[in-house]
Amino acid sequence: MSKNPFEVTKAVDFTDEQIAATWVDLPGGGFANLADPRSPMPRFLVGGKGGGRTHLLRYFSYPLQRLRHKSNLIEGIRRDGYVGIYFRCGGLNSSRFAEKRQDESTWAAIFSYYTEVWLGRLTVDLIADLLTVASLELGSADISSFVKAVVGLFDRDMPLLSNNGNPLLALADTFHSIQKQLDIAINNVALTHHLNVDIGASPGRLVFGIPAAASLHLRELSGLVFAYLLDEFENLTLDQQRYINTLIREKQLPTTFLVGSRLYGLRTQETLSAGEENRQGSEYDLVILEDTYRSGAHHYGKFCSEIVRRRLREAGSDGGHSASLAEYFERPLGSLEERACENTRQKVPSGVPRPWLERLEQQLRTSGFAGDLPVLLARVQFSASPLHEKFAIFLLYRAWADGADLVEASTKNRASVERLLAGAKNVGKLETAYKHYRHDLYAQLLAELKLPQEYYGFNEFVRMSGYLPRNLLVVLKQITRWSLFLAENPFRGEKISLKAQREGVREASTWFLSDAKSLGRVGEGAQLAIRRLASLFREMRFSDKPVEVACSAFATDRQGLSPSATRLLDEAVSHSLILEVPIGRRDKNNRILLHKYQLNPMLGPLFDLSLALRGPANLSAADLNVIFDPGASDSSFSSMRRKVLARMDAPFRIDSTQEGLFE
Amino acid sequence: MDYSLLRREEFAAPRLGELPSWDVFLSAYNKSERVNAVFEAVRADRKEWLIHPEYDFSESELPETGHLHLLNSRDEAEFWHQYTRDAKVEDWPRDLRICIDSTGFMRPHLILFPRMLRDLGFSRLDVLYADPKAYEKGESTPFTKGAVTEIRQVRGFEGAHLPDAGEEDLLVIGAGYDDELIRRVAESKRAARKMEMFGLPSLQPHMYEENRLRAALAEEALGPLPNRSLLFAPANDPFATAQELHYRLEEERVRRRFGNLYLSPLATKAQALGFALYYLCECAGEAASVIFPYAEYYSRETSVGLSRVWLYELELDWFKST
Repeated sequence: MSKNPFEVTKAVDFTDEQIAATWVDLPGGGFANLADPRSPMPRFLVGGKGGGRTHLLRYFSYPLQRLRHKSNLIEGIRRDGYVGIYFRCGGLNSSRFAEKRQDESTWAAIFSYYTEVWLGRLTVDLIADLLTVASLELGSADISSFVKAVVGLFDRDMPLLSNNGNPLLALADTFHSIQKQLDIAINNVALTHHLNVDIGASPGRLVFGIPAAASLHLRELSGLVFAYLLDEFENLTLDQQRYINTLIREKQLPTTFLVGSRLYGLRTQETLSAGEENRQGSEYDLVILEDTYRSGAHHYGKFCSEIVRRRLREAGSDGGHSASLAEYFERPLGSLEERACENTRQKVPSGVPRPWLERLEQQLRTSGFAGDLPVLLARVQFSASPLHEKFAIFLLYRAWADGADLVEASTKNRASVERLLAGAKNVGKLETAYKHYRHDLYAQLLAELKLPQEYYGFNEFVRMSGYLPRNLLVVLKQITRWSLFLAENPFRGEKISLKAQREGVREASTWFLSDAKSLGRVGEGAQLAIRRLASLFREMRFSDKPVEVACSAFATDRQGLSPSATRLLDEAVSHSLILEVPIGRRDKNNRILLHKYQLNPMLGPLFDLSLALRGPANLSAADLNVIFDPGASDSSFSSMRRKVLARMDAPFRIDSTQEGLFE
Repeated sequence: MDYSLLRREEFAAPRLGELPSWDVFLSAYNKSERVNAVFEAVRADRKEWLIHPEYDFSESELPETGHLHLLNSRDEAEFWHQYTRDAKVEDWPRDLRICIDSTGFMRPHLILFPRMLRDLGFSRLDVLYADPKAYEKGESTPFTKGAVTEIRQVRGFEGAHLPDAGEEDLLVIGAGYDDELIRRVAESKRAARKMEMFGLPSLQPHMYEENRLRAALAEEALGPLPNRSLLFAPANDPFATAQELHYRLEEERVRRRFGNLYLSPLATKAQALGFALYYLCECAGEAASVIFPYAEYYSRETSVGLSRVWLYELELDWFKST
């Protein structure tokens, strides 16, 4: 079986060489505009899972600098102007620094000292490697001065371990030894309840002191910025983040920080400096990667295309050279109208009534319109074009909901739909309505014929990714797998079938829902809320008279939301289950600026929703409380759902108790 | 290390009466037939039920026979501190014959117990494990109830780790039926290269397939797994499990090297015991830890029937000193 070019979807699964080989810069200024490791202003790079933070931070890291400057490392690094000290906060196993019958202040002190030693060890190891690779004399007077300066940073005597007269390696060994002693003490306390740790350096002494000493004593490193590249910041507890925030606040040259974190991972901006808070723009900058991608959506599409091309080239596929990636994916034949016709012809035998007409007949009969049935049904039937027929029925439902005379309305509408069908121009508002609703009506038609929804095409997959490139890679990975399973030859001259696209998309969508689940009860609550919201959107989309086109968003001013519903909504946003559209919209009546939220399009296929972002659904604060408040029972949700759908399903009675189409 | 020197013995369900007798027998109460049948059958001077808060039993649901220890800490170290204090374990003669039925215990609690006994000066512990005939709902059997709240190192199994220095970390997951646990652990060590150990032979012939089906659901979190990343050891043999870890990780050290090692036993209690044995004998004090995803609650009854009981004899003085 051919190798899947999208098998690896996470930067952490790449080697340094693969990080370099798959690196793609952002069009329109590049990532250097977002994160400059030489900038003295510390910066947080924040985003959802799969936004590219790790790839970016690793690209700036020393091992990648080594790869880029193989011929002359020192010269290359001096040109870069910085050395990148990359580290994952997850490696600290931060949960060790809590409980075990010790108080919080004890753990805070130990954690900060441990991190000083950890970062100090990384920096010393990096300097030793750099000087070794550059073939510099490790026993020189400069190095002895540097080592002496570092030893002097400790608050107590720190005898160097011996290492064959090599002071730099002896310094590295000493750091290793201190850290190991700390580990043993921290780990054993759960069993012994005795914590015997001698804090050897105050916060910042080593983190700032070692780069300063290197700059002062090692000629080759003078003038360079030492950039600490902290990844997985979300793995630190609130108290632990306070310590890092303190380092950021009290930063000393030549040191700077680039911190990568998930959206939900920034727990506080407080510091240990008398409770002072760091302020954005003053102590740090903040970049939300998705917002950057979204603000240049055109660039995002190009960026995604280039990522995919690079993968295809690396895998030896011809896809890397194709003019358009869209060409590698099969498209359905014909227009929506032609597909509607063909699908209906295949699924509904001749002489058997079409399901949407059957449903309408039943509704009219049970709602007091039995006498008008033959006329009404005749007015809406367009056997040559089932999609126009669906539209005529939709117009009838609209008239019904408005309390209009149905015979009169259907007669008038028929004339307009006939003109539409004939391709006439200037049909007026109905033409616009048809353009807006035809995709939703086609989706309804597929559902009523018991056919799967259609999701296909590279641009749709980019849209589906919700501004997280990893999501696109997961979608393509699953599609390629299905394509290979179906014995196709993807990206090698043969188009990927619609079936492979549909099944791959659905698997990626299922994966996304479980992958985005956060820890604890709040994670369970957010999942329930998303299922409720998405199923409501689905029923609205498949209702008799959908109000909003491509229903997948809602707007709220957040007034009237309960604290627990607000918390869960924010939780869903911070885990990218829901995307907040940066500039909301103003309420039609009072012009108040509303927050607009879109269900992540990755979830669209799982719930048969459109991937497009159009107008938001009209949900009140009370409705949103039922969806997002984990205390709201299933029966409250059912009752709210019935109320909302009563406006959209015949017979359009607000107090209707009917169940939804897909109950 | 040659773990095959350690002794194990099998007792088919009708032969439970032939189990040896002990001075103290400990078991964690739940509703499974296999846990209760073994408790009934074992002969011991003192038989003790330990009650985990994770099973969420009310007072009226507790058993009426045996000494009860209601333990209220979810932290495994505090759980055993409370028990050893209540039961005055420090006063026990060091040659006391102690047996623990591993079947109902939470895995972190189970694996910490031998380490704590060793620290207290005991040198021998017998462990039982009861095989079920089947799991209640096949591959869909829910083992954890409620949310996973935390992924952390198990107390007493926290190593001295290396900062990220370019060498890859390695995470070995004992893959059980619960894909959510596998996903959580894999996500917590995103950067680590992953290996998965499956129970083969499984407890019953059909269980291997069920196991693979469930574990496949966590595939995206595991990342690409080459063929050589799969390990196999009998699901009810801790010694074979420890031996397989020994061989494969030695091979891995030579072949590809790795920085930090993380072990996460998420399958049977016998497998968890094997992971613990390997760790305590070979990894203590090194850049290695056992990590575990902690859930709020666990199902009280997950299995059907009792097929057989295994007795494992642990030599606690094999463990490395820390």
